[in-house]
Amino acid sequence: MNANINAKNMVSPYLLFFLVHAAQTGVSVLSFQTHIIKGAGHDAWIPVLVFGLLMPIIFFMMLYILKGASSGDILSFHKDIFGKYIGSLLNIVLAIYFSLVSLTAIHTYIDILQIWVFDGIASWEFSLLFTIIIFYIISGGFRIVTAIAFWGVVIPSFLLLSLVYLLNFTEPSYLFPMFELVWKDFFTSAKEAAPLYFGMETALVFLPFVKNKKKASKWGYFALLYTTLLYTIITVITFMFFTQEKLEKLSWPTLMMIKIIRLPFLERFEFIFIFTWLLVVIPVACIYLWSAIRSIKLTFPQIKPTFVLGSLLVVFFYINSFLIDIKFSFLIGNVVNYSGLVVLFGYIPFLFIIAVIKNQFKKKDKNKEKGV
Amino acid sequence: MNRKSWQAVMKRVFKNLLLYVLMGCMITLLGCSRTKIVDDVSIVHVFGLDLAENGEILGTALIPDYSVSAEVDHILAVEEQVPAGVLFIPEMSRHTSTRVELAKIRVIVFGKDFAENGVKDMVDRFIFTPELGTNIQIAVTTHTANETLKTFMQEQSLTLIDRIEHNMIEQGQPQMNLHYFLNQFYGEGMDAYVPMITIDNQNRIKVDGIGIISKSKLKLHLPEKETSLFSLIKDKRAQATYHLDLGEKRDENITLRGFRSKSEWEWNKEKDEVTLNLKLKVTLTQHPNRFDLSKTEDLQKIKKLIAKELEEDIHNLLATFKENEVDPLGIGNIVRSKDRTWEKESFYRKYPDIPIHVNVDVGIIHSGLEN
Amino acid sequence: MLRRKRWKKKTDKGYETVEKSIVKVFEVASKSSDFITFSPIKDFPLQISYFETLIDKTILQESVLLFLKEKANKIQTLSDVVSIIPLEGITISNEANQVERALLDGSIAIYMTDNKEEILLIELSDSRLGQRETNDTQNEFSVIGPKIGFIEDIRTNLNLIREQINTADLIYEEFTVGTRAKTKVVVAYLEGITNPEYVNTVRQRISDLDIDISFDNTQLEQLIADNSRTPFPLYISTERVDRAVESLVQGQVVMISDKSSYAIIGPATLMEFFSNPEDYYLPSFIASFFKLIRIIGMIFSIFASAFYVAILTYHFEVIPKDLLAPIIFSRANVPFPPVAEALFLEITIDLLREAGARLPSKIGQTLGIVGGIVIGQATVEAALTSTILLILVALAALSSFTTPIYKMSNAVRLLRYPFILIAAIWGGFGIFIGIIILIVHLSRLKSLGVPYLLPLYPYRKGGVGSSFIRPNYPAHSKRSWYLRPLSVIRYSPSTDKDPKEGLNHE
Repeated sequence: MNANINAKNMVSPYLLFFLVHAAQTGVSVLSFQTHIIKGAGHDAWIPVLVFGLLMPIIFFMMLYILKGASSGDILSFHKDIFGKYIGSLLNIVLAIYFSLVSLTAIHTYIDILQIWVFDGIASWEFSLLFTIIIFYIISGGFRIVTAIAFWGVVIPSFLLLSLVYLLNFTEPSYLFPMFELVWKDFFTSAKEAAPLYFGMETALVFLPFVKNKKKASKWGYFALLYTTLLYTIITVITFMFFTQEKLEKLSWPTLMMIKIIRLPFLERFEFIFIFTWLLVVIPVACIYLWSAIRSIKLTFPQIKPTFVLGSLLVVFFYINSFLIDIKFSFLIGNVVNYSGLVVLFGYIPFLFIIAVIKNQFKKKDKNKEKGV
Repeated sequence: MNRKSWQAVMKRVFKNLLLYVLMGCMITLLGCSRTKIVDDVSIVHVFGLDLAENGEILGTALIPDYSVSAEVDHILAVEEQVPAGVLFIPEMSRHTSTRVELAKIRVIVFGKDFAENGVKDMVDRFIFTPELGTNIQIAVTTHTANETLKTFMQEQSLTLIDRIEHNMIEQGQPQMNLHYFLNQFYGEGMDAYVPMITIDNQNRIKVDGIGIISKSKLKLHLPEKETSLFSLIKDKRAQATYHLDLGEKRDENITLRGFRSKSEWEWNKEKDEVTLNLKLKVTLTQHPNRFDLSKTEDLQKIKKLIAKELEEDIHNLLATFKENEVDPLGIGNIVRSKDRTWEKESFYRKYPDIPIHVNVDVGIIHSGLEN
Repeated sequence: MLRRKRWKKKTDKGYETVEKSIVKVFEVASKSSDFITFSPIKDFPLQISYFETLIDKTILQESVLLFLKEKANKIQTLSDVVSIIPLEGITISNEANQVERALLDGSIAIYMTDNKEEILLIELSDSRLGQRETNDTQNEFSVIGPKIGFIEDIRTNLNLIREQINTADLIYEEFTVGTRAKTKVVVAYLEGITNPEYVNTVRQRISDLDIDISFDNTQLEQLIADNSRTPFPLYISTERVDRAVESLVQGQVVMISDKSSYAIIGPATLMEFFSNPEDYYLPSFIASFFKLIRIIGMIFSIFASAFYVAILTYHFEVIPKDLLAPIIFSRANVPFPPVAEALFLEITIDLLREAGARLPSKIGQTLGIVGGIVIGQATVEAALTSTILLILVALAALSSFTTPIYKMSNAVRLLRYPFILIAAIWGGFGIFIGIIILIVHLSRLKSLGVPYLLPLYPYRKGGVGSSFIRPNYPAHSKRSWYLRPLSVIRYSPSTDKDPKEGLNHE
């Protein structure tokens, strides 16, 4: 299924865990709590948990789709089903979606930096740094992108220990009474919780680069469950930490939680947290951008991928430096959220059904051949 | 130029582009004025808020000047009057030779009039910023903040926060910092409480019980004895020393020092009753000689005596709360967590009439050196 | 820049394509004043020519001239000379290139005066002239353990290795490197253990190498490295014999070259640069502790000054309250921003180091005291720097030398400067961006095709533990399999040596 990928460029199966987990945890972890309490209030951890448990189903659909594709990724699947021209068009649409997500991640992170840490520094400097780093990472190829995903999971996992410090300040009575929510609230909160889990649709593009699909898919499911568990724990701790009314007023609840940590040699731990979060955001940006470039590359094989990378990064730099008005952040954020929901819950099941039908036809053909 | 030479030129330019860009950055940015070099800023340690006559807010800031010596003996007090909280920094900066930075404020002090008038807008705008840490202290003073801070300045130290904080760990003040304060200030079903400080008759700052802020106004000032009792109920590890007064003679004193306390609340829905089961583990630091603790019956007697006294005192405390319509213990929140039909308005209407039963169970760990 | 992948054929280089004849060879050689031609026996048409500076005169006199003069009457042709002289390594040749090569390698040429086409060559080179006899590895010092080091003579080095691993599996492959210098390079490996891929890569790279002189093995190391645009060394270079032997047994390839006292070992991964052979002579707890200290020392060395600059310039909120007073007070009269202070001190320390390396030893001691103490003290009194920064920079400079390999400590010292600069412009954020660039750069490096960050990044089970601590004897019985050796088990320790003790056996 992976006819045209050099074995030297492929990565070991267990790295799928890091790829999926790193692509999912991004900037939304820092601010999602305020949004999800809109519907279900203090029970909003239940939609987070349930939504996360739905993700393996979508992952299964994705794997099924890719099994039937001619070279193992969704770009060839498009070309198989929809023909050359519409397939290429769909690939470009996918590439645009991926670039937008990557852009949102960087944009939001620069926002955080400007609010919390540096208040006098212009955005173009941060955009410049991001551009340089992302160029360096992606121009090294998929193996380097995987390397940064690996380190982007391993190094920030030390931050999880800080959650233990927070347990001192929790008050379990804020969570009770439990299970008060109704279905309408559930869906409102679930919709707000959805952006947390975006990230695995990039596997549609990079899955051929992973060796030994059977073993790798096991790691992929494991990553989804781990992400779900992590998010639920963070949500529960947040709800035990803040009262609901205060939570409504906060725009970055996770960071406000971390503010209270005081170490003997560091009085404000949140700086370290925010800067280490850079290591969590960069894999998101890189994996999405790499997928976008690969989609473009397989559609227009004559353009050199580094050139595509360079031009996309110039566009990013411009947007992050000059379009810094609040309305742009809202606009991009909303576009990305809606597109993500559409892709995950509309487009992938649609393709799944097509793949199932296609498989049935194949079986019928085979039976016909055997029968005759 | 044809395609190949163009490509070659572009390649050469791009290879060194990074270097040129970085060098350009370094030259232009290195001398920029966006730095906050630590000896070029005025760092405010204590901030006080008062109500001025015309409705504006009077802010007092204590800024140490370390450049003269490493000891804290040069403190500058800056005061300014502004209509809105965020104008403090620009107005105060006009007095200092370096920029004023609020990021390291350790204590915020509210003057009494200011607190009684309503603190909500200042809390919303001034205190709720990412700049301030959330483990700072908030205190209300019985005089004006200006006076208090000036008195404090005479003491030549900036350890107000330590003064407040260590009382919380070992003594009778309940745990409090900005995080708890904000939670309770905005939260439904509970009222915020802050330590009160006052100037004693030797012109020193003294921590004096807690003040309860309800609906953003200071409603009640609990003296020190009730504060110890309060922290015994509220905190799990309060080590407050509580004195039970049994009689006139000096010998009839019982003092206990708390060790662990566990409070369980029960809500009886039909009868609208709240029951508090308080399990205390204490050390008995002083008891009358007529009790001999090695005998079981004496031990039972003294435990019963202590429990009875404590229940009475707690009843009085709760009655004070109900009288003043404040709820610092968070009874509303606790009932909310047990009752699905809880509603804020109706509960607080009923609140003064809700009977609260108290059961105290005392476990004596040891009694010090005496037997 | 010399790249290793050259597909050009090894064509003749310009200066050696001229058709030579033996007469021409002797003509060119006699232009040098150390080329001697003489007749040992009177009235006999036998001549000996040699480069005086290359041969061992004692052997010439005792074994060649003596026997020639004794049995002079028996010589009719050159082949008789063979039976007279009791030395081995005698060849007869009539090829100009071979004769020239032999003469330059330190052989003597014996020939009949009238027949210059047939030359008898005897190897008599004395390659140890002017070199030291022993090397007690001052640069890679260890308190316990053998202090045997390589010296500049390749025969001795090969002898040292083969004496320690005297197994038949040890293979030496010899190459000649350099077009003008023709240095001998020997690649050593254990057959049946080392992965043949690595040997093939090394073989191919050395054969494809095109350079005129390779001065030292460490220069060779850069020429055959995968990526020469990095400050990090991609092979381990060591003077100690026990380290080279250890790596052979693990399944790595060792390269030794003539006139160089360093052996280079490949493939190398980042964590190997922190282990010292002394670790194996100490108990595993102590050795693991010291290894951790080395790693922490390196990290501290890179980031200490950068964090100081970042915190003081942008993030003063992070400083604990009690530390605020001393820091501000010590900086109060300093006119420069923290970055200028830090750079000034760092450059001073590097100046001291460079100067100290070149001072004659008698002056060195006094100037060391002057530089270190007086200048340091005076700068603080003159309020050019703050005391805290002085302590930090001095400690960081010291801890950069905790890595046992000299090349790595250089890389660490160099890395400090970009971090300080980037911290001055973008504060803590800049430092983390620098960390990311460093990690990505390390992930892109490969040593002989093996990723540099093994076993951490392409995670290999069992590798991470032994990177940070030194496993003890029974746990170390398998070779680290990230080197893909052909045989994995080194030894199987017996575990039930002592009679059973303890509560269960009373």
